[in-house]
Amino acid sequence: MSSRWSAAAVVAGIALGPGLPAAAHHGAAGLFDVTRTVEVTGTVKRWSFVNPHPILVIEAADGGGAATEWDIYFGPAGATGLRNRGYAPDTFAIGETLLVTGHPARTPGAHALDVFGRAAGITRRDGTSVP
Amino acid sequence: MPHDEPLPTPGLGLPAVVGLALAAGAFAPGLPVYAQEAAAAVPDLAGIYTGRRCVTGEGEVCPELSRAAAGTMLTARARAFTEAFDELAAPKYDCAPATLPGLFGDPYAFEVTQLADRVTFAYEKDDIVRTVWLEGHGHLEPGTGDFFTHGHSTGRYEDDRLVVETARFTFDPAGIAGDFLSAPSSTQKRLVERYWREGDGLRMELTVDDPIFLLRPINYVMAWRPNGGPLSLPWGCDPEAAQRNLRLIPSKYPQDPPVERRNP
Repeated sequence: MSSRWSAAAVVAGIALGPGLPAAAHHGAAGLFDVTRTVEVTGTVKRWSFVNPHPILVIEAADGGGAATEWDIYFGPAGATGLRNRGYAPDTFAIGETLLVTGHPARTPGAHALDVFGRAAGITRRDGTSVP
Repeated sequence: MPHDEPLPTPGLGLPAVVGLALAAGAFAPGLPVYAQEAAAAVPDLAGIYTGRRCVTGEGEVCPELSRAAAGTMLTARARAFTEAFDELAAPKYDCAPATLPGLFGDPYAFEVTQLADRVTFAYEKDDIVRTVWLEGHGHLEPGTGDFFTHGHSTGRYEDDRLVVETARFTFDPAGIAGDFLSAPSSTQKRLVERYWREGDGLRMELTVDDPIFLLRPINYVMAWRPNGGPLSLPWGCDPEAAQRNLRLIPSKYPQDPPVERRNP
């Protein structure tokens, strides 16, 4: 775990086998490669708890050390749905460090991860999972 | 307004219901006979429901039309539209409300309220409220040129079920299926919803017909469970958030000028 947090950029791409839960709505599986997960460690730049989809942006250093913004998606869920799963407008603090494990966007050059599904998630610096 | 009164609870019994209603002046002249009949046959569907699920074996069409099913259920003109349609033109990216039947596939709660002359469906998603005008109350019918995003709905109670028939829809680029499939529906689209109680939950059998864009009707049964709390409102769609997915979707027509959306 400590090595994960010491790296400030994309840590790993992990190929996953078939049978993963796919997004059942809004075709998120078409936008994101649900057969792969990627880990990104970064600090929260923006958190807007809104519908139809909350906005979470984290800033991480790329391989060359340059700051890169990553858009974090929550699958089909809006704030209304995430509220039932324990999210809230104050779930994330600006500047807070997060480890995000998510499915990468299929769009070439996009810096976006989808954290929908059991293989994905968000972890705080102290090791607790969000929410 | 008498017609805005909620229906009495079934536990009151018919004599008490009619007595209370008459005492309150709830029945306008000419309506008592119908009202008594309606009170006797009305199933109690009122409640807040969530957790939509498809009941059995309709995975190709429920909760949304799959690409595989689209190949066998859409007319050639519908398939041609789907091929040509550019996702960035979908109204939802400007916070236009979800439409029918796609709304039924959204995983959010809704509330059913039964009144004497109408039934309302209030959805968390997009703050949508549908009104089903019960037959026999002299409600106005839409004019020849009247079309609506969610159609015009009339209803009746039949065999312990609420039967809702909806027509007069506007043309809708996602009126059969949205979310990157964009199968359209025409002004000829018609929906029939049949609602009934199953335990403490709610079930609905849906039939969607559109002779212009469907080769055969879509039919499935969906179930919901009690929500256990109030609706979470307002939805309050945020245009920037609505358009966020477009960052990941290249246009089918890159030769066209880029679109700078006008947001309120």
